[in-house]
Amino acid sequence: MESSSANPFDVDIREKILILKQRLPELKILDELLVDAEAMLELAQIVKLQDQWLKSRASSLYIDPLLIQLKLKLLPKEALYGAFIKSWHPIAQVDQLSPRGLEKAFVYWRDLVPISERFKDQFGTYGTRPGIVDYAELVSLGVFTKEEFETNLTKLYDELLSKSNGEWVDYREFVGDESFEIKVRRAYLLSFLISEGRALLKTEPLTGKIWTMALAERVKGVPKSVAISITGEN
Amino acid sequence: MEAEAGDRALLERKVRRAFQVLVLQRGRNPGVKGWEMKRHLGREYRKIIEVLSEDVAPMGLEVFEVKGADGTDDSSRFLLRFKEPPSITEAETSGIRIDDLAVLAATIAFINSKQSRVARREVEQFLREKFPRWRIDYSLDRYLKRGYLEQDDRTMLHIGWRTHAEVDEKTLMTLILSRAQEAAKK
Repeated sequence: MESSSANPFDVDIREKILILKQRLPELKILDELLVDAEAMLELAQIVKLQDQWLKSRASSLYIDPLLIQLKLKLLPKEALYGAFIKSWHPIAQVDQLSPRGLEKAFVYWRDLVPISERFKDQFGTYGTRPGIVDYAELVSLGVFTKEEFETNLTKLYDELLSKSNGEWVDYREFVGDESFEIKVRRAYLLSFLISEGRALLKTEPLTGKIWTMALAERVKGVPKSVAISITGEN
Repeated sequence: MEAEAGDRALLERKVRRAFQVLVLQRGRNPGVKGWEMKRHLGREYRKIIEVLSEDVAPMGLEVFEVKGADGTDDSSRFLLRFKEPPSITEAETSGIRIDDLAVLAATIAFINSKQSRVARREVEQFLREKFPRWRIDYSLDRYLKRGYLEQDDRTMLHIGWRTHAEVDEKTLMTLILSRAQEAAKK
């Protein structure tokens, strides 16, 4: 009743109080008595709502809700705006900067933690934006050693050469692996083979298919960039 | 004679002080509470306010009292406001959006028609026939923040103190009813 605009006179207070009165002698446990007291409080709240309801109805502002809803629906927003302006007495007031306000602003600014430090406790440090990780950086991060990189590159080249054998092979099938980490590593190595001219890449925008092929001899041409997303899905 | 001149000077000083207190915003909300007025102007502050109200009338202003929840003098809020509503052109130059004020006008009328309390979702549902959802959320939140509307812990909307201070609700309801008749005739 309190969280809706239903008519509070729909509740028969007398009847409810009589029920509570009848039940009261049967209540022995503290919890039951507390629930009973709560019910009494709720009834008191409804009586309060009834009082407000009567006052509102008696006031000159009372208009049948359905009538006002209908009128509001009929009115264009310009007319609503006009009606508001004609009954509006705006407050006259000066917004000013006081010495006290200035002092508060200064203290706030002085004590403000830099944005890079502000949410560290809740969210940890900020991640870096997407960017390019080159081979040298990977070596420096310990992801590859120089020897391992060369060996893996040759191994992948041999694999692609035997699989493609002069034919186009599906790029995703070729780099695909159960492990996402290995899949990314193979895609990364293959991008080197393509950049070095030891493999080719072909895309079909309509079908979304990507093809690759190993070349027996290194070729030179105009380099082009292709963005390929690698996801965790197989 | 000297005593009279002294009294007059004191009154003028207090009226000036009352004007300054009313016109400068102190807290988040405009206006000054009765107890603050008493502190600034003394126990006879109502008389000072009456004189001030007469003094500012030629400038199109008046001192208006909004009764507090408990109805005591201390809880009343005093404000300096426009004596007459602004013209449409004046209101337009203040940069207020038609949509925003239309939402407020419809909400006030709707709440008043529902015994001064209505569930927010009910208001939103009603307004959705006329305004986009984002505009309704934005406007209702804004008017709650500014004191034109109030929302209790059961998400029931009530008319806020600022509406009582600034809006002649009876005129608004009458205008809505009469304009709707004109709109229907068209």
